[in-house]
Amino acid sequence: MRFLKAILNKPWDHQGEAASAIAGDMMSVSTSPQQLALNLFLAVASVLFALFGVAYLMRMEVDTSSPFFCGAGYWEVLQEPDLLWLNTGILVLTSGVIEFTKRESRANRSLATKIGLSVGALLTLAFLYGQSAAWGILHENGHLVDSTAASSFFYLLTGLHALHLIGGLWVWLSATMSAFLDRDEPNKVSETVRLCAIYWHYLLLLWVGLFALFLNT
Amino acid sequence: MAYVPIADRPDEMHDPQSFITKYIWSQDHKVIAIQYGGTAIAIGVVALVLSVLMRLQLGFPDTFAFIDPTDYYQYVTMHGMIMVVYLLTALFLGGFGNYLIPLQIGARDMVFPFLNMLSYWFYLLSVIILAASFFVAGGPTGAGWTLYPPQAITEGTPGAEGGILLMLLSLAVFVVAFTMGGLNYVTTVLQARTHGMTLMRMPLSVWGIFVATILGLFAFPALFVSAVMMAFDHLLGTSFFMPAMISLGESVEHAGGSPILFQHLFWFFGHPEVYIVALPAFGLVSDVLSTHARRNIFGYRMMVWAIVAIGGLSFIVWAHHMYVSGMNPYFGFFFAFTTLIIAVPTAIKVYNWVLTLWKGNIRMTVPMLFAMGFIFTFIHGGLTGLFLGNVTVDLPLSDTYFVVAHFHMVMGVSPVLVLFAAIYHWFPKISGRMFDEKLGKIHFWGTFLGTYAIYLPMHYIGALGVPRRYFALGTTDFIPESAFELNAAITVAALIVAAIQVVFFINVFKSLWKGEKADPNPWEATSLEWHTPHTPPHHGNWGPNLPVVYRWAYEYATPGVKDDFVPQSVPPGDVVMKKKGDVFKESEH
Repeated sequence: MRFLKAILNKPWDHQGEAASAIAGDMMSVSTSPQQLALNLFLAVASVLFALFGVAYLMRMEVDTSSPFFCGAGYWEVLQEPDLLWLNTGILVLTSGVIEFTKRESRANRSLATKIGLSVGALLTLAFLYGQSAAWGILHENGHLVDSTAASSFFYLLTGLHALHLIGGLWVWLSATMSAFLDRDEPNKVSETVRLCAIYWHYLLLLWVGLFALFLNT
Repeated sequence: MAYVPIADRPDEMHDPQSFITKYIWSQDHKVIAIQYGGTAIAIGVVALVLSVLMRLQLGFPDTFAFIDPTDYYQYVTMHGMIMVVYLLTALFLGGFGNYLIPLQIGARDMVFPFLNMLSYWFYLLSVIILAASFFVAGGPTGAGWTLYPPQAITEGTPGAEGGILLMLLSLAVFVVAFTMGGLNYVTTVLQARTHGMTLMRMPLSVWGIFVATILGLFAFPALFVSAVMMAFDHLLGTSFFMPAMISLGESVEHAGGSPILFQHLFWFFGHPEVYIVALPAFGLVSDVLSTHARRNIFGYRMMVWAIVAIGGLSFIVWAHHMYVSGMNPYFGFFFAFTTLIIAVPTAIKVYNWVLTLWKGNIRMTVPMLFAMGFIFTFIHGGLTGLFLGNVTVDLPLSDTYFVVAHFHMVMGVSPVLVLFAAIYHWFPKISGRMFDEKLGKIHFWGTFLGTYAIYLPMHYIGALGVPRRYFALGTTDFIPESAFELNAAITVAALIVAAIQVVFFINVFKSLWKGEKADPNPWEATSLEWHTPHTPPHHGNWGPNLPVVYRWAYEYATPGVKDDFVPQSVPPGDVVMKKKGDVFKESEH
């Protein structure tokens, strides 16, 4: 709305406009640039995964009645390993721990922050390990990346989700290092943890969406 | 929170300490802009040479033994992809975006200078990967710039082994580079504007770059998705896009993939891409026209709204590139409708450019010539777009040279003319030197008339039904002898236009070496970048204090004001008013 209001301004009309622009300035910054950039990045990531989702649904609808259809390549439902439920639980727990860490770091409680940072990193690693174990189970059951379209999408989407998490983990670990080495101001660590929390919650939601898609198709 | 000019914080200054941090691993937006620009122009020259080779083959078939069909398709593909992505997108957004955003909004730098630097180095990496494909076995991909599967990764297509993989990898890296740059541009525009620089006081250049960047952030993921999925099909044997088929007498290993799915994904990126290139061009040309016509831009608000509207609409027209793909005909109806709607804000912009010139005090400088040339080529290219936007007209024309002529006029020649206008316009600020006016005019007339000599006849050849994408036309009943003669004439024109570009490079190097020292504001322009304490601007741009903005960027020939321009940073009290022999201040008026 603020944007819409802004673009209704008549910049050539100097009556009253000039003075108010200097005094109030429309661009009172209410979010940090890091927060804004993160929001934008999450929007970009959402578009990316939404497009994969659309591709997934469109690929499911191969026209088996077409005269060109040769009996192969139609959608075969993939039996996802039950381990994914455990992984989902771990990721929910991770989000919880990260939320806890955010509150502790904001309250400047150093020890609790350090514990939260460490446990958060370990749980994230546990989730990634769990996902790779799920890959292993599929592999053992003969569902390779090129076996069916469903298995191809499974490997691709879980892999991309994991890559996003690894990117976040890199930032998380740098914040952990800073906290343990007292390298940065506590409020800088706290700000990083706050942004990481948003990112982890987002990746949890994304995973839940992906998991629901896998289970229902 | 109170307003804090982000880019004015001392810890954001990153003062360069050595040659390496100043010129190579630089975090200064101006140096990064020049790095982006230099790299884009260098790879653009490669694309220009490829187009010359293509034209040699088309104009004089059976003459050049060193061009075989494989080479030809590789030239076509690499020319298209380089021009659209690696030259135009990179130069408009990486080059002019980087240079102009902080300077025109009154910031010291981008909000995330390190990320900005990283963006350039990823871009360079993507260019190197792309160029490497010329040197792998089988050469670069020859699948056409749209890289349609199954052909792109099927044996028999040029570069179907290594070339296509390097292309896909390069595109993926480019998308990463663009995302880093794009997050920076948007955040900087929204958060680092100086005091008084409201959104509606921003020059249209910034508006164009800003909206194009948002388009890029949301459109490039589609390219990323299609590149990753095609790489999977090729490397890991998946069947996202690859159907079951028989190739060279043998069944391929794939089954069930959907080539149309790729086309949807590709054009969901591909059509906004047209506007990712066009919107910055619209913005830059508006500033050049207004400055050199000494007139405020006509309908500034409408220009901003049109940029935003075109940006939004550009996401719902993609399938007009796919009328011949066999998709549902009702889709075609919908997309024809949206395509014609997008012509409305675009036409508003054209009218406004022309009306800006109306009764202006036009100065026929080199940048102005290029900007006015753009109006011509854009109108011509745009009008043929109205033909092709209609399904029934598009079907017979789609695979002919009419399409080639259309898109070259509208998104080849037009943005390139704006690029030249912008380079000549901002060259004095970037380099601190003036360019040679005479050489600039030779460059303009050669390029402008030459491109008409190339593309006007090409429309006619297309209307005759001459198909595009053919290595040689051979003997057919429906192609008259005159079409061959026209093709030869087009090639001669193309060679002349290519040769004229040498004049541009001579001009740039000569001017850099011993050009006349530039006045800080040679065009008497109003926007902030012309009022920096140093020319070229030093690191940090503004000296000790950020400028304060009091008005929009188009205060030219204001009634009652003595000078014919009032810079954005001049306080109202210092504006000298016109009255017979009597000078008094605006505030007293």
